[in-house]
Order: sequence, then structure tokens, then C-alpha cells
Amino acid sequence: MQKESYFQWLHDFQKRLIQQNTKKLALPLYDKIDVKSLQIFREQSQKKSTSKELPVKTNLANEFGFVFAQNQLMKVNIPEKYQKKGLIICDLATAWLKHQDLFLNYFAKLISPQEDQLVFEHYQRLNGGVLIFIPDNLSIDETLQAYFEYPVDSQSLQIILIVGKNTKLSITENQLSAQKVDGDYTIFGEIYLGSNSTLSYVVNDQAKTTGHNYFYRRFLPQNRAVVNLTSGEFTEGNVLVSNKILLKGNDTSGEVKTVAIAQQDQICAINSRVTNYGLRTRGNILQHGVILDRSKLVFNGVGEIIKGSRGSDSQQENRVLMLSENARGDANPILLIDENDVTAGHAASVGRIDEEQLYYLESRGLNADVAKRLIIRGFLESVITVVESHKTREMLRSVIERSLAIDD
Amino acid sequence: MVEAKTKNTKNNEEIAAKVDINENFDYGFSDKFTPVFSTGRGLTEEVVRSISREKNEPQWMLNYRLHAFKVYQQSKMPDYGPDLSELNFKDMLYYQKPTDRKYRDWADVPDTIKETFERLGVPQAERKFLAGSSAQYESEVVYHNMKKQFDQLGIIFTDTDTALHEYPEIFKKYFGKLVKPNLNKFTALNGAVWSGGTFIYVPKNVEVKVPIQSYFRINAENSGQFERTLIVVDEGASVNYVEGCTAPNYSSDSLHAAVVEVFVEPNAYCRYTTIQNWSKNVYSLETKRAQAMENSTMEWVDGNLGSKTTMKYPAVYLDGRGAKGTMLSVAIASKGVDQDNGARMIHNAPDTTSSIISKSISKDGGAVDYRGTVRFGPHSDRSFCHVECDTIIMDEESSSDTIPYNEILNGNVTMEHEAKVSKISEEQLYYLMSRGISEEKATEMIVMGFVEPFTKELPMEYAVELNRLIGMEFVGGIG
Repeated sequence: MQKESYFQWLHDFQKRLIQQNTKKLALPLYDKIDVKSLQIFREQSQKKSTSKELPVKTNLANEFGFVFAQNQLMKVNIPEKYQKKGLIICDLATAWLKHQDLFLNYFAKLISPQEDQLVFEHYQRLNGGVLIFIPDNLSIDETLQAYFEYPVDSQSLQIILIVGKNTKLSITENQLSAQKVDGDYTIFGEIYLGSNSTLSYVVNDQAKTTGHNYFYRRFLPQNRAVVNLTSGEFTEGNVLVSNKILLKGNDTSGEVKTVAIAQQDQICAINSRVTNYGLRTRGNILQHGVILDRSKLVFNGVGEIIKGSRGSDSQQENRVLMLSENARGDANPILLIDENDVTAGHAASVGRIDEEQLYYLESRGLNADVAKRLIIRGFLESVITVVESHKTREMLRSVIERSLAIDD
Repeated sequence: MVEAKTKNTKNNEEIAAKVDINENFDYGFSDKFTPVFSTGRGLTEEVVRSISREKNEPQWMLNYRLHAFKVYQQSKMPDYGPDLSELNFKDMLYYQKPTDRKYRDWADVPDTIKETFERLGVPQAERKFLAGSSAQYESEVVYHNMKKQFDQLGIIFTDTDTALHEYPEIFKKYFGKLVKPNLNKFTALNGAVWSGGTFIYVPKNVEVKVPIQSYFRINAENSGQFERTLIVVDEGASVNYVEGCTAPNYSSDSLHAAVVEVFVEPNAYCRYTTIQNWSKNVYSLETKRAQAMENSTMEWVDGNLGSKTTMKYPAVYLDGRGAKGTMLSVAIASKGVDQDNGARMIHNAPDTTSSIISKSISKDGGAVDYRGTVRFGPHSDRSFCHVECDTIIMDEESSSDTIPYNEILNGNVTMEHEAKVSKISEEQLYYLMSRGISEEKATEMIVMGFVEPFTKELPMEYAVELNRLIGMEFVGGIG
């Protein structure tokens, strides 16, 4: 019942946004991505109640983590040793009720509702989310498994992840669905990282959706913190991904690794941006994608060095493998450099399957399909091999395998 | 002073020994002369009509100009790239003509104009190297010299206005086919008020062995230059066209909005070399497009040193099977300069290849950007593209963006792109200085080495001039 006061607050928050939003906000600008054509929010309003609830698929067993399904936090499993130290995992309503200071300090701060029209729309539709708080000086060896099961209807979620100082955390964001769903889904992540901390953030997107997805993740590491983002985009629906790492702290480093497979009529637009603000910061973007069928894949990598970010480094590599005559791929590696005491570089390539490799494999008795699959695996493998966690590597490999099997 | 600065690399020494560089190389001069005809400041439909009337143009050209003028009035400024808000279209001179008749013979060229070229070193250069020279002074070609053998081979090398009258068939077949007025605001403006420029036609299987050259200049405060260059290289023919620009220093802004169209027919070859050193108040907003047909080759060689703002992205439309397109460019942006350059390679046919090599340097607060597009269309099977962008940011105040767009609509193509941005290599600097070379000189040597892939492709006197200009840039000799 108390939760109603949260909903009242949220309602007021949303109303205030409308009042503040006197002039119409623009759509976000991503190079060579026609945001309009992605039709992120097709439905006018999606606040209708869920007519049909899907069964919860995930069995958390003894894993450290949580399941968010049917629009609420279904299961949470925090080992006692972490609970004692003050680790929090709760839904936004609970966060507002029990940890209001924390909530108000971090909610909608890193991604401002006035940023653009899609962000504004997301906050208007916000109907769920999770707050994760990792206290200072806590080193966690287990991977935090976060499961998000898609409902039939549209859903807009907010993940607030606050990692304290001198901590270490690995988290995997799993997106899945019990069956094919067709809504508009947005997941926004506001991720704060205290000084000297290390975060490994893995996205495993394999929801069976024919709907439209918008994922927006923004990271803010403090001095000497390290962010490693690994994302695997294997969904079937149209998807717009925007990953941003703001290297504001000195000596921070941020890395985005993406493997993506676009298939059927899907439009997959991935925009990864690492901005160096602090001294001696290191940014790295590594993206490999495979394009099948009639799909379209846009890889934007933006390495930006702000004036004053001396001694910094910005590198990126965007590679696309085209497997179909009718596919379309864009690889746009962009460097924006306002400082001279830096090193920056990028490489991009787009190519087809190497006939020689194919010929070689076929000459060894493999049929063309198997040979092709091996080549794709090899192509994506060059990203996967640099992923630190063994578990994540295995996970990505198995998803790729499954994703390609469907294609046959 | 200049002499000392050019003798840096071994390569330069050899060249420098052959050319007299003791004269004062002052690019900031301006000759006094009165244009014979001018439309006055500002642009109206009447101005467009009077330009056409003055030039005694056929009706279709007037219609073309009026159409372009309409498009111009409706089009917006570009929504990307450098700031153009200080461009003042109202106070600009859109057309003026310095002399009544054209001079074939150098001796007949008016003294004031001659003096300008002499100070630029044109006559000597011509005696030594040039095959023919078409000199653009103000908005009209005033001096035009062509070797007799050109006439014998059937090569047409004239100014664009003359070509319209004397070669109407070829002219109408190609003019405006690649660059349409509705492409952007500046192509529309050029379409409405174009004047001067170079026209070259090389007939089938004719090879022009020496480069054809042309010097351009902007003079008179606020004069706009809207050249229209049209080059047609017929089947199996080959040509190397070289143009260079220097401009006097004026306090208010000038606009240079040229349009270049190059048609490279099957099995033909064309190289178009440009060195631009506009004075630092000039907006250079150019549109250059080439079409390359079956097994032909189009090469852009493009050097940009001065100007206030440059926006230039030469394109090659690879429209025939096996066509080849290359772009080799150098851009240097110093104080107050915004160089927004790049290239566009549009693969529309199978087995086409293209290459872009871009070298950029920004210093003293200058901004140098690479903005390019590589597009593989649906029919571009087995095509290949290689792009390399290297940038040196010399100091804390300067900046550089690299914005390459790669659009691939065909699964059977290969593209590679690489870019590097850094400051001047401390290791190289350290090494050179440890050998007793001053920091200033060492820096200059490193820069010369950095742009060498470009310089070595230039005709010799251009290489000398470019090295000399770089030398001046790096000790603040000009601007």
C-alpha cells in the first residue's frame, strides 16, 4: 500500500517533466542512424495493465542475482555476507520508500529527462526498474546475474547501479522472453562507479522480440576506476543501442566490446561513445558484427577527447562481415579530438566471407553451411577472446551458436 | 629568410637548388585596377539576368541560371561542419569582368595583372614547365595560352564561357550533369552566377603528356568567385590538370564557391591536382565531382593550406565496371582556420576500387577535420576501398575530428579504414635534436616527411611551392 506513495511521486515527476517540456524536444542525433525509422515508441501509451502474464522462466536457484519479470522484482538472492555489508537490490518503489536519499541522488541524474525526445518518452513510460547498491570496499567474486524477462506488453525499465569505492563487481544483464513478444521495450542504465573500482558489465540480449528495443547505458567512473562493457546483441527485433562511457575521473579507463548479429528484416543500430575528460584516461571500442538476410546493421564508434584530457588515449575498431547480398552495413568510426597530448586511432572494415577460407574448409570435407558458421565464429571470436571472464566467453559463444542455428 | 627554411630534407634541397627563391614571397598583395563591368553588390534575379546578358549566353543557359537562382533562394545552409554564419551574401560582388577581350599572347596582358602573376612566379614557371596556362583573374579568364600541338591533337583547353559559345554540343551534353543546383546551397549559387573556370576536352585516345595548369586568384575586396570547371576525357584519353590558388589578404570575407565536374569516359585517365592557399579571410566552399566509367581512373590530388573556412569533399562516382578512384590530400589549418575536408567514393558498379589517403595537420588553434563517405551501392560486387587518415595536432589549442561514413549495401565488397591522430612524435623530435638540429627545424622536417606521400605526387614547381609554404606556415611566415 505504501508503494502507492511512490507511484504518486512518479506520477508527479512525470507531470513536472511535461510542464517543463515547453518546447518539443528533438530526437537524439546518432550519425547515420535514422532514429525515426526505428519507430522506438509505436504505441501512443502503454500504461494498460498486462492482459496476459507470461510464466517466469528463470530459475535463480542459488545464483547471486535477481529476476525481474511480470513487471516486478520476482526473486532476489543476495548471499548473507553481502547483505550484512549493506548490499542492496530492490525495485524502484522500495528504493524510493526505504532509501530515498540514495534514490533521489541517482535517479534520472546521469540520463537527464530533458536530453531528447526518446529519453523524455522513456521517463513518461517508466513502469519498473531496479536499484543496485554495492557499498565501498566490497569485492565480489560471484557474478551478479540480473534477469529481465520481457512481458507481452511494452515496458520501460530503469537500472540504477551504484558501485562504491575500492570495489569489484561483475554483473550480467540477461534479457530474455518466454515466447515471442512484440512490444516497445526500453532499458536505461545509469551506472556510477566509485574511485579505484572495477566493473565488468555484460549484456546478454537474446529476448525473442519482434518489437522495438531501445537500450541506453551510461557509465560514470570516478578516479582510477575501470569499466568493461561487453555486449552481445542477438535480439530479433529492431534495436537501438547507445552505450556511453564518460571518463571524467583521472586515470579512468573504459572499454566497450560488442558482438552483434543482425538477421531477417531487422534494423540494428549500435552507437558506442567513449569520452575522455580526465587526465591519462583510456578509451577503447571494439565492435564486430555479422549481417545476414535482409537486415541492416549500423556500427557507430565515437571516440572523443575533450580539451584538457592530457595524456589520454582513444582507440577503436569496428568490423562488419556481410553474409548476404541484400544486407546493408555501416561502420562509422568517428574521432573527435580537441587535445594534442593524446594518441587516438581507429580502424574499420567491411568485408564478405573470405572465399579462400571457405574453399579450404570445404576441401576438408565440411559442407558450406558449417564452413560459413565456422568463419563467422572466427570473426566474432576476435572480440570474444579479449573478454576477460571465462563464463562470459562461453555464454557469448553458445548464444552465437544458437543464433546462427536458427538461420538454417 | 625563405631560402633557409626550404633547405630541410634532402629532397627539398635538390629542388630548391633549381629554383630561384630569393625574391620576396609575399602573398598578401593586391593590385589596383578597375573592373570593366560589375553587377555591383548583392544578388537579385536581375543580377543573374544581366550576367547572362553580358556574356551573351544562349537561352538555355539563362533558364538554367534562373532555375538555379530559385533553388538557391529556397535552400538552407549546410547543417554540418564549420560555422558559416559570418558569410555576408548581401555585400558580395557576384560578377565582374576585368578586361574586354581575352589575350592569347602574354605580351598583351595588362601590366597590373601581369605584375601579380610575375610576383607569383607564373611566367617563369610557365616557361619552364607549363604546357598551357589559363589564368583566372577576377571572374573571367583573361589570359589564355595553349600550345599549338593541343590544337593539332584536337584538345580543347579554354575558359568555360568561351566553351559555351564555341563548343555548344559537347558543353550541353556534359554541363551540370554531375553537379545539380539542388545539391546544396553553394552549387545552386554557382549555377546562378557562375563565371569563368576551365574547360578541357581531350578527344579519344589522345594522351596529354605534360600537365595542363591554371592559376586562380581572387582580387578586389568581397569579390565572389564562382568558377565552373568542366573536364571531359574521352575514351582511352589521358590528362593531368593542375590548378593552384593564392589570394591577397583582405580584411572582410570573400567567398569561393566553385563547381568542378569531371567526366572520365571508358579506359580514360584523369588526374586533377589542386593546391589552394587562400588568404585567411576566404570561405572556400567547393563541390567537386567526377564520374569514372569502365576501366577508367580518376585521381584527385588536393592540398589545402589557407582560407578561413574550407569545405570540400571531392567525389568519384565509380559508375563503370573496373573503374578506379583515388584521393590524396593534405590539409593544414593554422590560427583561425577551419579545414573541413574529405572525400566521397561512390561505388555503383562491379569490380571498382578506390583509395583515400588524407594527411592533416592542425596548429595554433586551427581545426582540421576529415569528413568522408564511402558507399558501396547494390551493384558494386567485388569492389574494394581503402581509407587512411593521419593527423598531427601540433599544440594544445588545435583540434581535429575524423568523421568517416561507410555505407555498405552489397554483401560482396571489402573496405578497410584506418586513422591515427597524435601530436608530433617526441621520439623523432628527440632524435633529430640530439643530432644538433633546432627544435623548430626538426619539427618542420617531421612535418615535411609526414606530407611527403602527397608532395611527391606534385609537379616539381608545386612541390617546391608547397614545401616553401609549409616552411612559412611553421614559422608563422604567412597569415
